[in-house]
Amino acid sequence: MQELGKQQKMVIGMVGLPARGKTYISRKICRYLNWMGFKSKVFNIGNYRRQICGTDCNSNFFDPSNKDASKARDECALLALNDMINYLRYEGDVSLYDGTNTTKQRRKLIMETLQQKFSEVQVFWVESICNDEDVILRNIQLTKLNNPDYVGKSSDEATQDFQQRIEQYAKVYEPIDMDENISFIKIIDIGNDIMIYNIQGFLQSKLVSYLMNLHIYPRPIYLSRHGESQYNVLHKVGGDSDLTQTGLMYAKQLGKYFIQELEGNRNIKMFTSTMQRALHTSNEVCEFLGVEYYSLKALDEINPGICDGLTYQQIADKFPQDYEERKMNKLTYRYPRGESYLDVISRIEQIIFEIERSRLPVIVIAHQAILRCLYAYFHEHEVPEIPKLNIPLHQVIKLVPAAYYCKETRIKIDPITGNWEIQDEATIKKVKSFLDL
Amino acid sequence: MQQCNRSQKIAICTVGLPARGKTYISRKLNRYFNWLGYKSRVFINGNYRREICGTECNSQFFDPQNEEAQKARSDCAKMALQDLIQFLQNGGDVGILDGTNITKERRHQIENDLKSSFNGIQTLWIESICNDSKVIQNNIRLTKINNPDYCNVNPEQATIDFLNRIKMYEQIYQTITDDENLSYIKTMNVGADIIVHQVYGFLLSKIVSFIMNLHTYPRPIYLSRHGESQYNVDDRVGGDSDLSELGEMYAEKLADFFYSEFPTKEIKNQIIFFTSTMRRAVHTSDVVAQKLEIQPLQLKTLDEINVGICDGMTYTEIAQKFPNDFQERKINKLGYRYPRGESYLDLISRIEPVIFEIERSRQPVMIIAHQAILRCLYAYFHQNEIPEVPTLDIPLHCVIKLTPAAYFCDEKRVLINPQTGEISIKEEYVQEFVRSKSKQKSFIDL
Repeated sequence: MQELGKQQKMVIGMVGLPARGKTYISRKICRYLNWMGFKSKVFNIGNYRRQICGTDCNSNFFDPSNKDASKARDECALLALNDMINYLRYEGDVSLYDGTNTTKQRRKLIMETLQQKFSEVQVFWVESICNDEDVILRNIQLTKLNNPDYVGKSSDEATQDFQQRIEQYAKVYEPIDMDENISFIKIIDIGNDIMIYNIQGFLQSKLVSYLMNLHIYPRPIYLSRHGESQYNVLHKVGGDSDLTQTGLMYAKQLGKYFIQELEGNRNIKMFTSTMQRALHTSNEVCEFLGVEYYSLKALDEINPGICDGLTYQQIADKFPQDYEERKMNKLTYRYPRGESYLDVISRIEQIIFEIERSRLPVIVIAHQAILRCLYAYFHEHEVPEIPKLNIPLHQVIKLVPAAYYCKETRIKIDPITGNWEIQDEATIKKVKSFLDL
Repeated sequence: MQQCNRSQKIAICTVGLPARGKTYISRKLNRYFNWLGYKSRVFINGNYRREICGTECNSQFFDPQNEEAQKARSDCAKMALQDLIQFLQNGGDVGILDGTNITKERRHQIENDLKSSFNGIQTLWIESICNDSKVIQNNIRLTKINNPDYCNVNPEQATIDFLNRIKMYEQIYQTITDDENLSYIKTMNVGADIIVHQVYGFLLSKIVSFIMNLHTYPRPIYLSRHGESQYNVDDRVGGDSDLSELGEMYAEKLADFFYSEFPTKEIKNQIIFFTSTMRRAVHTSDVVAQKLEIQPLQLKTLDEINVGICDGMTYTEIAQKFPNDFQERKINKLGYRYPRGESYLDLISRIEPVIFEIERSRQPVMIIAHQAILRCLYAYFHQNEIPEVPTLDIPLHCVIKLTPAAYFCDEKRVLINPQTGEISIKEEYVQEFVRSKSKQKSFIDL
């Protein structure tokens, strides 16, 4: 539920040794908060350190007895803190302080600085603890080796140096203690154990629910619209029309696609709406796969209210003002007696939780506006872009979450010939430099 | 989200010393699951003990050295567990075992019995820990003194005896540890601190969120419909009509009523005020908002049930134009979905986030919405069965004040005459209400 309550500003501080998923968690939280309508930003201390101290820092730089380096690192931490406070003051609602923050002293310093400079802020700590060597090694391989710190080094060298860096931090690591009197959540071994302490307020409890559902299983998410419907052909909005012949053929081809794609795996979760065109498409797919689907009203297409059954031309003629208004602000415009995109975003929150939670492949067969919202969430688009995203008929969008992004593949399926055309959107597409993280 | 994976059986067992809120948590969870559409029931060890051993058990009965009593209590616990297992075998989805279960041995035995009764059953242990003597005293006062165990004893004696009973249990209390290999949730300080260990699955993670938000603050929830609308006058369903003149008068009188309910500015600023996005509710809320100088939050989730193709018709017109649908709705008002519209079940699903918000809130809550919506909200807090929802009486021009307490919900209805502003108050307690119904929910049935 967006805009709930008079919200205080909030700082979320991460705690944990390197390669424990802090950046992954901060990015996820940031994504979720922005999605819910809270302006959020991650301030990654490592980036500040890289900018100021350069990227040629080997593990000795992180030795706690290295006085010069410690001083430099403290300064970077304070710089990041200041930027974060300014962000909250002038722009945002929530900022995430992504750093190791592994000593009581550092945490105390942050709390005191915040109290001094910005007393009306709520602070919430997220500590990630992991003792599984395999997971840590995998994290290092997936995310650290491409790190600017190790440009020009072999992956073995980089791994070794990084492990030494971790050891430096481990020397002074003090996990959060209850006597520090701070609100926190400890996530241990990717959610095997969770400790929640002194949670206050709506947002913190929502975040805890969200974090409990996170995992790092790289399960694929398949999004597809229903097959072509009669209203599609007539260019009408709304309605509960059925599939056309072409649409029905797409449904069958879609079933065949999934049979190949899933290689006989029936352990999947399939969601669809309660509207005929989606139900009939899902029925066909389920016949092929031998699975069952969940039909949820929350996935029904955006409600166009009084414009139901009209073509865009007719809407422009009958309701010229609304037509203009919608063109100008497609995101917030609410059809009279109907919904806006913002209403839809609110509506599908439960589904997003379901998909996040799921460790099995997920298939969603739904509608254009709905899929725009789902796609935007997983692909990290800005909310204002949602109403213009391209989600055409007869195409499957396959999203596979990876470390800091979502790998996307689009499969165009010709309903008549059954031919597939695969478009692999390389990760280069949304080039966010490491610094922008 | 209803209908997600009904195939898995779930058994939840409580752990904790007496007066730690175990029964409260069990009841709340039970209510929540039934609300979500799961068949759920609570099995209270204490009740089995009362039925079999009688209610004249003073604290000596609970002495761990008292072998005879120990055997009797152990037998009772076994019976409760057996009934739970039977319930799950006969179509139940969630069984909740409400007992102290404070020894590792007992827990181990129960876990084994449960796991061997079903393939793939999920078990969850909820331990409630509290060391705040004020909270414990309060719990004893609120819930134990009225307990059948103490019906012939004066409150002071009862408290002393109960505190002795707790001491008996303390002698052998073993908190859950990881080596017991159980999925558990430990809640401390009334939900402020929680430890979660190996809890997976849709329902289980919902439980954690739910428990996090539970509290025992007796805050009031005010429910009112919008003032009379144009469509009300014309007897039409749906639409987005505005208030009639009478409705506007109600809005004024409602504002006056709330103004007197919340005397200080401090209290006013803490109120959680929700309304829908429909004209009739927004206008009613605006009048109240102005008088109290607070702002309502308009939630589309609180919009009236969507009547699809029947929008704007009277019931007579519906009966004429869609006789089949009209009949269908009469037979199954709960599940019937208006074509292109919603059913009551859809509504129940839709308002879940609002219910969560209200559960969470420790401040007074004010909701100005619509008949079908309020039927659902009222039913949840007032603990009505889901099939009753579509026929609950939520009249116009009436404020329903609910104050949920430990084991029941206090209800007060304030009927406000929109023209004269005259107020007439009807007070009802659920316990009375429930006893007078033929369904006879005794303490044992809970």
